[in-house]
Amino acid sequence: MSREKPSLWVTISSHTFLLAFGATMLLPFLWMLATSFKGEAEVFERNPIPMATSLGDEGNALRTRDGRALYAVVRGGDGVVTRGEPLSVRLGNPVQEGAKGDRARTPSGENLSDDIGQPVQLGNVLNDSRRLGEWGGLARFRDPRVYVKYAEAVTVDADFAAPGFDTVANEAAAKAWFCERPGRYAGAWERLKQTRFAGRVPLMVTPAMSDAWAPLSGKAEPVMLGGVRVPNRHPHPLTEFYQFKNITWGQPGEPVRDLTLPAALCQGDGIAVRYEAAFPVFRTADDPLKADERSDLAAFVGDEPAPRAVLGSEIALTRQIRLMWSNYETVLTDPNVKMTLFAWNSLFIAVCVVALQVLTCSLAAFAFSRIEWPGRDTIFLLYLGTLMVPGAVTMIPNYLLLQQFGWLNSFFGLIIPAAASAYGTFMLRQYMLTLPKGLEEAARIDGAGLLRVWWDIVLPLCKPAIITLAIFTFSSAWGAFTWPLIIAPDESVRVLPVALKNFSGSQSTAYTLLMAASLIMMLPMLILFIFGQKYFVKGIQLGGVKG
Amino acid sequence: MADIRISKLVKLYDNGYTAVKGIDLHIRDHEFMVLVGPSGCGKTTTLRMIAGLEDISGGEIAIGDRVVNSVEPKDRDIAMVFQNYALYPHMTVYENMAYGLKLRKMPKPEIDAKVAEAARMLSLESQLAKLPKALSGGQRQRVALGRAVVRQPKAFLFDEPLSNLDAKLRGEMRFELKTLQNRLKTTMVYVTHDQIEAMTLGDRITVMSVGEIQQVASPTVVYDHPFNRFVASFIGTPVMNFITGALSRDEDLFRFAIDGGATIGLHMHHRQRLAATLGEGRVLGIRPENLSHAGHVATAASATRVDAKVEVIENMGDHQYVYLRIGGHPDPVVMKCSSHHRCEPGETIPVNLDTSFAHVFADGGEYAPTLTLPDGFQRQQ
Repeated sequence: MSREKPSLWVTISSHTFLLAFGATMLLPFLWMLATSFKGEAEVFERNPIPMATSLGDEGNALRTRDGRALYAVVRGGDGVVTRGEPLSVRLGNPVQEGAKGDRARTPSGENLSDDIGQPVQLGNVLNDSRRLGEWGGLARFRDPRVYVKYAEAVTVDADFAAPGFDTVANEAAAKAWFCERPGRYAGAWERLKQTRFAGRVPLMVTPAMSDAWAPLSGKAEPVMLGGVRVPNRHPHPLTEFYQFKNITWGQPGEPVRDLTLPAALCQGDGIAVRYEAAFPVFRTADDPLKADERSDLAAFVGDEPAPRAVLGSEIALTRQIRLMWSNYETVLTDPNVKMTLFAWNSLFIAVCVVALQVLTCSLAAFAFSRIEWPGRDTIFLLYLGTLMVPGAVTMIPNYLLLQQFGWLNSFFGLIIPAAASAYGTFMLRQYMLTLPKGLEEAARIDGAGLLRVWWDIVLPLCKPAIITLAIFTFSSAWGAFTWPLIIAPDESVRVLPVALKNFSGSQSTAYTLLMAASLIMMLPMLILFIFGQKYFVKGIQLGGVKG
Repeated sequence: MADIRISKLVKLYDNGYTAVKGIDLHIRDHEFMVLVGPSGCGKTTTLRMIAGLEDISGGEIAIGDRVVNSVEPKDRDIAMVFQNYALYPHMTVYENMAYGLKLRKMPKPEIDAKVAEAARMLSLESQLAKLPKALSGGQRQRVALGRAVVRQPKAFLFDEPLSNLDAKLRGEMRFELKTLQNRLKTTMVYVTHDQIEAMTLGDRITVMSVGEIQQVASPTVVYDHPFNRFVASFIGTPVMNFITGALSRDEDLFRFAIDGGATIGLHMHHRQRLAATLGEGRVLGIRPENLSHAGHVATAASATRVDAKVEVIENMGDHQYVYLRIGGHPDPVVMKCSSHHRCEPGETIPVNLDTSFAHVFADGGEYAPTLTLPDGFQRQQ
């Protein structure tokens, strides 16, 4: 009787159903994959595709719904942002070098001048200020004009006094820097001073500045997460600037952008300097600066010639897919992460466990299946009964036992308890029972002792079962977490799954690095699965899936 | 080269079953000894005890001068060929044959030479690099033979080696085995349930049943002088006819009155031995080839002509088996005759019963002793 072919409708609906389920199963994995390529701030974006906003060319500029390109022309506000609160920044002065007027405008001619100095709503802060500093805030943009924050310059009042400081010379230097070099904001110093620096003058670096004029430094040490330096997002805006070491303390004739003065240098009891924006430092839309952007930035801000960049030109923003391979690079190569050490640890342990388990299980299975001895089947049943004991129950006794052996924090503690398994013995025994007894007898007559029979005849014939066992053992040894976490927390013997925990601290988690590391960890298993599918299936047929 | 001495050998299994009940057997040097018997008669168990694959529950086995009861199989210097070949599936033909030599740490060139020689002898030269699964049944069996031969052991043990082959191959392999034995002149113990193999191959045959030896003798002797009714019925195709009846004597002439039928004269040798046992119920054993169609074959002096009704005819081509009913005898008798001796079912034909090679058995069931054996006839010879 031939089965009727199912109707088209049934085929389509069942396929859809199955595909939907398959996709559901894949989602976590896809999330991992996507996240591993994202920037830190993108992690919780709904958009699964890793994207980055960058300063791009006009042709690829981000556009509003009505087709206008988005430009970064913003100066920041002040205060500390907190999660959930609306975030606003003030528009800076989008002066165009050599322009006809100090008009903030978009390429389409829209005049933004009226907005200068006015707060612009960015949206609600999605993440708190600790991570993002005063200016940022992970906010969803409502206003296409608003984007980035400025780097600051230190500005001084006219009555600023400090040893070796000459107000007049300072202003001359500032004027020279901002207005007198080719391509700069020529001849408009007074206006610039009024609009940009609110009547004050940027503090310029002079050779006379002594060590007492210490650049702000060492105030906010980066946090170590998973061995990676993650900038500490301290609420104080200066700390964030601290990242850009190469521009915090410039050459003579450059503006001072980051300064703290010892009390002795201060007038009164306060610091007589103010920070003001002098240079537009572009941040990507919703992302802290990444290493590669930092170098862009350095070029952008400090290097000659970059006239367009200075003083808040309009720079088109583009948003494109960006895969952060640097996450993988960091995980793999950053000496602080020690990924290679943990991977070697894991590999060493897994290989040892597989080798030992194949050895012990095949020997035990041989004894249980091919040798007659009194009480054999009873003992085998007892052996098998241990499969019913949950691993969590034996964890504490095992721990105490290993403590007595002095095997805590050693490879012994990780390898020896896993060197034999009832499951493996059972699986191999069942397989060996299917081998014809004649082969073994022939070998014994040919001159083989028991060990020879085991090695020459039984082992080669059990190859499929042994490969299956090896694959399953490897996968469980490679992925073991609880036991290694308990028994060997030391870095020297730490394994990958435990090491993954390093990427999350009490305050925050480096999700991107965590996911990249997790994927790297999955890779061997994935390869094993692809090439050993047959044996995975076989293993399930032979003795059920290992619990 | 060695003989094998078995004395009081017992095999008692854990479940209480006694497979071998204290047998004594001497397998001579260079002899081809066939152990034959129905399933469960203990022949294979005996062989496996000789090989060392089964523990010995009682008695003793000696190969050559050495008692091997507690000697490991590998140290007994024997080779065995198994029913299912037992070739190592993961080794090539060469490796299969060389394995035993390798384990004995023989130098490689020597191994090569021995394997090459055995391969030539068994025409396996072109198969050496193949895996067993690429070979036919006959070739596999030859590899198994080769594996035994290269070792040059004191004795070969064969455990129904031909039973997995088809009829034609079996014939060929029988021939090869015979040739091999002629060439090697080694002690061979061969277990089979096939009496044709037993008859054709054996220098001597050991007929076993229910764990006991029924008779040990050359094929001719076993055929001509079965020690008891079991041996008589086991050896020979078709099976010997057993006719019940009563024995009487008229001077020198012994007569046998078939139950429900005619009375015939007995002309076998040693019939004088029947004199002591007249009057009791007896069984006459007569082989089908000693019956003939009297319409086609003249009645010899040693034969009696009786009428019989044809019931069934089995035509084998050159000859046929005719199932006949003699008078009211409860069992039919089988006649083996030329297929040209035509007859039809239902027809009554005259039949010659030639009793010169017939036997008379006591009426004691399956193992009833033969009464017409020569004087001093031994169960084992």
